[in-house]
Amino acid sequence: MKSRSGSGIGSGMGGGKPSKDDGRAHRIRDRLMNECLDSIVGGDAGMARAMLRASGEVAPGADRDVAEMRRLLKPLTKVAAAPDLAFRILAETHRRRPFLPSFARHKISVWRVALAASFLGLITGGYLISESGGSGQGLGEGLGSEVALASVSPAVAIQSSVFESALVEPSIAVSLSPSLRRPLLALGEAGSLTPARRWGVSGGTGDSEVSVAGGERNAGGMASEDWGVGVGVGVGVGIGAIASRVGASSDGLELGGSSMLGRPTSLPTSSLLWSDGANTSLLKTNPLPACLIDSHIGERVGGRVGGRVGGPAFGRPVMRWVNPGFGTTFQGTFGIPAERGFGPSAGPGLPSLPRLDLDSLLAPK
Amino acid sequence: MNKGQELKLIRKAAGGDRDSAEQLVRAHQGSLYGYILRISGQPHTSEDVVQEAFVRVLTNLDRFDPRFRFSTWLFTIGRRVYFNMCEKKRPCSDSERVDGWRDNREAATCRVDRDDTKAVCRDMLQAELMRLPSDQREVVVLFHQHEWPISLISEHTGMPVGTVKSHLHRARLRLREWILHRVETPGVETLKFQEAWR
Repeated sequence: MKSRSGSGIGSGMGGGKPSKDDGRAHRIRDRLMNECLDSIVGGDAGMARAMLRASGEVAPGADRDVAEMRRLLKPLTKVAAAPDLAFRILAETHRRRPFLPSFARHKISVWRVALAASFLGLITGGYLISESGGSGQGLGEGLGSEVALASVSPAVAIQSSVFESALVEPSIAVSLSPSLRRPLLALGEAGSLTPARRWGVSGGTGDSEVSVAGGERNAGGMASEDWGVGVGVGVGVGIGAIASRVGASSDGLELGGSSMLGRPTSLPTSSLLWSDGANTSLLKTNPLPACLIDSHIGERVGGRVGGRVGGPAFGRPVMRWVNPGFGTTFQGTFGIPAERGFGPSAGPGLPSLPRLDLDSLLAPK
Repeated sequence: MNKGQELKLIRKAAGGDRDSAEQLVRAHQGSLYGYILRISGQPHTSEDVVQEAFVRVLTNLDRFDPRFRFSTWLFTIGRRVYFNMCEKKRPCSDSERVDGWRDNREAATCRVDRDDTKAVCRDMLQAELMRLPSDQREVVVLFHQHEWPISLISEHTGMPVGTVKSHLHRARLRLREWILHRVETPGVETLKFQEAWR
């Protein structure tokens, strides 16, 4: 080390040829200086002062060393002003994973969904019908009356699912499928709780699901008859980026199945639901906006006869918002009732909302 | 911004809210930039690193563990990005870095008059900082510039606490030795430095 005498800077270090004792003293002072600085920057200046006082005789001038070093390092505490990179950063982030408008970020609770479904069910498909010629074990009979309050159309199908949101765990997936000849009371018949569970395989995530289906109907595998409350258990398997769910419940046949390929790019999702017939959904979630083809065909096995022979078929325009980037998926399907074939009609004198008859619309004139 | 507010912003940004993401960027870009600039000495590299680090953070916000500090996570990612970038580019001699630092000060923000004695001190310190081995430089910057506790630096750099301390102590002694040596060498900068020093 060079001589530091005379300049006023580091003058406490002494000069001339260092002796053995000088070397030892230097080491003590250096160590003391370091310990004191550690304490001072660590917020314990009192400790530093105590150390300096205690070592006054062994290492005189150590306080000057500390002061000198602090002055020397002072410019470091001034953070260099940074250029504003916010715009660049946000643009690049948006390119890789788009930000969402506020409406799409709005989380919809299960109850809201159920309420909306009920409301939409009422305004689009629910009205009093008179079962004519009905036979077998219809739900109407469960009421003990020939007039049943029923939602005659799967006019509303709302699926809301929030998957893979680490911040909202467990995430919830709800499926509400009021469908043909299902009493209005059964609007909340199917629900799925989806605890988000991460699978550490190649960055993918999956969901295992337990779905609970209740409602005024029979449940798969349960012995209860009409108006029993059934619980169907969906079995969820998630492997890597693939999650699948299969559930079976309801009387007759209801089969639910979905597979989901997870983030960051959602791949086609398909779900099959048979309820009072067949309901098939093919969802393609990427690119956006996705389309959903939803058809409802067939007749409930062992269901009513005369009510809906031939069965209705529905095509539904679908709105769907997907945000695969930020780990949240929301999808909603809002059906507009479009009926083809031979459907139920309101009984004489009973209020009925207008229906769209596809046959008459599509028939060649 | 306290931790609660920050967490709220993080949640919103993770949900895709642009405004919250912007607030997070504005709150932390300065410190990250300062950190990277000190250890790299190159403003353009620092800008690139800051951008890439923020983009990675914002696109992975759902992985953020709220038990930890956001800034620590951000710095860790920034550091990784920087080292990855160094691996790819390589040609970073110390002299280039020092020049880069000077260019940066003139070009980007500081706009310091060369007569400014404080600027001379900063220049001199940065130049000597760049002569330190990268481990020591980083430890000094985190400890003295960002006032991180040694335990956190140890966690961040993956070095044991004792190693962090010894890097810090050695770095200080070296800096003092070099700067004092430089001060004793006659020159305009020396005079300015001595003036500022006194």
